[in-house]
Amino acid sequence: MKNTRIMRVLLISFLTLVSLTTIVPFYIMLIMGTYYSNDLFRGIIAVPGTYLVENMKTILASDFFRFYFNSFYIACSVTVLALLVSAMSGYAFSIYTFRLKKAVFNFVLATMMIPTQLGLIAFVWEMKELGILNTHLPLIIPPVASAFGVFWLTQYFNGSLPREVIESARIDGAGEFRTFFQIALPFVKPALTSLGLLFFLWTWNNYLTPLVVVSKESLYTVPLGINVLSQLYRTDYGAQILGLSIGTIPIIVLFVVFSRSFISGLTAVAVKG
Amino acid sequence: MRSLNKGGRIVVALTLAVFLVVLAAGCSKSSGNSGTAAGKADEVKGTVTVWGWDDNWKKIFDVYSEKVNPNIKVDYVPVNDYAKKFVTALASGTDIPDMGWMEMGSRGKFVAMDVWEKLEDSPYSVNKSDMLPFLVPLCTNPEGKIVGIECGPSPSGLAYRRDLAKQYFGTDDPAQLEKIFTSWDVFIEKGVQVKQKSGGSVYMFASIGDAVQVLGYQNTTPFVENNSLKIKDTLLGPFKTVQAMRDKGIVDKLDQWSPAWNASFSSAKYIFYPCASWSPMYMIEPNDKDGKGHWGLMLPPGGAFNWGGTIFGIPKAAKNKAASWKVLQWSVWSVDGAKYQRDMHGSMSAYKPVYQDASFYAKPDEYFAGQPLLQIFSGLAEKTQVRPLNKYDDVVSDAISLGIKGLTTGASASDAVKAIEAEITRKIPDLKAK
Amino acid sequence: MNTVKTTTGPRKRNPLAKYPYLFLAPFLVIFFIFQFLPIVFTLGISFTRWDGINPMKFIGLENYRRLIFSDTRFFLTIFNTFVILLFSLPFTVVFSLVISHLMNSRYLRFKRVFELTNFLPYITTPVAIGLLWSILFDWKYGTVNKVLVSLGLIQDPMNWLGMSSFARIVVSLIVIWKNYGYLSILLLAGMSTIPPELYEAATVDGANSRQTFFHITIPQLRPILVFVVVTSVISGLQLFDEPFMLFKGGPTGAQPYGGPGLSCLTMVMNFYDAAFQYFDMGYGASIAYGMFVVIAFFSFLSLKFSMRSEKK
Repeated sequence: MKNTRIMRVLLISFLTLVSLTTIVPFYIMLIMGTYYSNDLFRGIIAVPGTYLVENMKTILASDFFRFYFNSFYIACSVTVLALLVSAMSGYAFSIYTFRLKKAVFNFVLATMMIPTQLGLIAFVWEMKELGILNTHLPLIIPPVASAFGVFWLTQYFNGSLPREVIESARIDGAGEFRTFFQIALPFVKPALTSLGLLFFLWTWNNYLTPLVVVSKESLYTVPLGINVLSQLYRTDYGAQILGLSIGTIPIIVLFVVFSRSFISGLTAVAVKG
Repeated sequence: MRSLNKGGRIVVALTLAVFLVVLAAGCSKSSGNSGTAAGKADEVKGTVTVWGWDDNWKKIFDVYSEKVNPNIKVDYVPVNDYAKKFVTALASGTDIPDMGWMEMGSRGKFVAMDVWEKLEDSPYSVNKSDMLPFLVPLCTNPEGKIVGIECGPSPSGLAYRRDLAKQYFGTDDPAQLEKIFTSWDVFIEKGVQVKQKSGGSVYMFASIGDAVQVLGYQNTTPFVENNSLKIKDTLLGPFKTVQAMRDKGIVDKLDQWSPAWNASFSSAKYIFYPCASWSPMYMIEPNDKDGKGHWGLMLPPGGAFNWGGTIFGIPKAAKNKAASWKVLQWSVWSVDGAKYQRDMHGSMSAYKPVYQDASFYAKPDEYFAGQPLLQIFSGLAEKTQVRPLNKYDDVVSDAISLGIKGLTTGASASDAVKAIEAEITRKIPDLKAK
Repeated sequence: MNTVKTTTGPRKRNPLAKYPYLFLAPFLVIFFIFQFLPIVFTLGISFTRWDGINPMKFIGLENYRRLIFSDTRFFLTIFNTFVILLFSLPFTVVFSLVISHLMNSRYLRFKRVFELTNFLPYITTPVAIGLLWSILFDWKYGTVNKVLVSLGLIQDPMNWLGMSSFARIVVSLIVIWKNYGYLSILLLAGMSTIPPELYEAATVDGANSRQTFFHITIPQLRPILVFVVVTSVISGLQLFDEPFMLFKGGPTGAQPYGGPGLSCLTMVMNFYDAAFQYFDMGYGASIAYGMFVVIAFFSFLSLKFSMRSEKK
């Protein structure tokens, strides 16, 4: 018993120490948003400044809520669709055997090795031909096909979904799609949670694609909208950082809400395994 | 991959077919000429799309459509990373704005592209002799035609701390100081005295970058001529002088634009900074908030130089050229617009007739102890030496910042110049260093 | 044609044969149209000389000749990228493994709080990170130098961001700091699927925690570890954000693009520079394809290596 308590104290103190290296910068980021831009460059700051209201005014003078809404619904759409598509593909690679499976899987892997910006010009041109430039579709549809997501879920299905479960579901006469949705998906819930969080974050932070496909201020996303809070020879870092900090709120909320399902995922597996 | 079956072959064939179609379509990009620029003032109507990065201009354009000409609306879209967005739009053949902005850093590249209306031609009929002379080479394309008008002429001098000048040179009057600092040799000599008197705590410049910003640009020799690099001709001399300053310890080694450099403005340890017409507003006031009256502006030894600036042009492919010109003309090429430019943007005009009224820019500046800044800058404009634009200016200036880094960490002037040349020729193999 | 089989089904005329394709269809269709086509088109661009505005000029393999035989920069960027990867990857993986293992411990309280704090660097805004680290490591006024000097560990302030090797170390540190939390989330998701009975049985057999870590956690975690290592190699070879934050260059950048002596110019930064900063689109495309070959080679190497150890 005593041993346990020592373990616990050691563990928590070590993790707290590590956490300090991450909390302190995050905290500094938050209070950077309360400073006058140029005062940020004078050295490390430790206490909140007095410029919060001014920075907030700068942000609100732009169409910030619109940007926020745009980012939010784009990120949500991408997250949901990408999770579905990745899970379906990961399931296909993990459960079925089919012609060229290995080749297709390697192909998916290979696509991760191409830097994402590579096809940008051609992409914009294609979007123009499809008539969806200056809409949000080019921001929502392409990231739905995520090689990273497919790879992750394939590995996760491989590691955590027992074949027998699927087989017995089939014997019970469940259709393939029903098996997938009702039997298989619950097994990968923790994987879906962590992946969903990353999809949301990546879409939320994406800067380059919105920059080149959207040329109407009403369609801007947060990173784009925040980035224009500057003039040529002077970037308003205080206001920008405040805006971007506000942008991290949904991510933190999602994280707190969904980290619960790491644990529920654990119990689900424990019960079934 | 193992031998392909029939299905596989079909997939490959399809892929190739689609690829070819895409490629063909991409190459035959239509070069549609849309819109004519002609039309009388009152007939011109419509909406002008402007991509920009400076909200002050949005406000000035709003004045235009609200008070001056309600027939024309300006749709101002704030854009950062302008060059990236603009070139992507051009390259993919998508809609581009009716008015294009070209910042000094990448301007050489943009004007060299044959995508701009030539403003001396009809219907624009800009008269070259109406433009401040030093701006002409900064607004012309390689054929010598004007393709844009400067929205914030940026003649530059030296800003100095008045208290330190008084303490070490006995005067804070710009005219007196200009009499003392007749050459960079004198500047170095005085710097050494400052160093001795202050026990090494006060420097002439905060950063090697500041020194290069002045010395490297008081020069009209182009960086590139007929595909041969002239870095040695145009920068080795200034770099040697800067090296001498460094070796004598009269320049500190802060990195220009670094946090420490920003903080240095209020530290009372550095006497001189390069100062363009935009610097008081964007560089000095924000960094020295309590600095009213601290500053002075003078002509540097070796003459005035140009630092920054942005020109407005009209893309050939713009939809609404006539209306765009109306907006452009009023805002940066008229006496009426110059007032708003002065009061709302804090900049001077490129349009010479504005300067006939001697009191136009006479407003005193609090930070500079009442010096009428824009008037002084107009004076500097007459003495400003500029290097002609070059297609490779952005590559060259990136390379120069590597050279400055080298100088800061101890390289000799000639090594720094060699490093600059090597970097440029790696990026642009067409160029040859002599 | 349909000789598809499933793990359970009979060999011929399998009613399940169409399903893998149905499941894969959404991915493949979207991928083909929105990602693959532009990339193929870009391959075409890599055989041209193009500034994005003037007509493309077909120049055959000239860009690739320049890339391999005359531009020493390309090899320098491969070298830089690998140095930073070797500095950062092992530490990141091991550290995140340790962290997630500790987080998975049943002794731990406030688990969700730690999950969140580990993840914070990954969501801290890059602008803020760049600013923060450049202030920390500033030559004259940086916190790090002040601390080291006052502790007497160094005599004069070090020019961290001004010297090649230090600059690479600083970039690697940021990479480790930023990514370990993200990796430990993936690993933690993996660990959550390991049945607790395995641990219980091992404890009954008298195994200590080190033994259970090496004999249960690691083997059970293999597919996820493979994933983590391979994707980290791939993204490490595409490193861009962290060096870009510090060495953005440009007219108002404090440090030159790519760092002192180009020591932190990674492959993607080089591509970005060519394609989006000086608009040498054709050459930029060829850099990207050259990069792709390098990344593919080493990713497959790491994949083969980790897959082999997966098959016990």
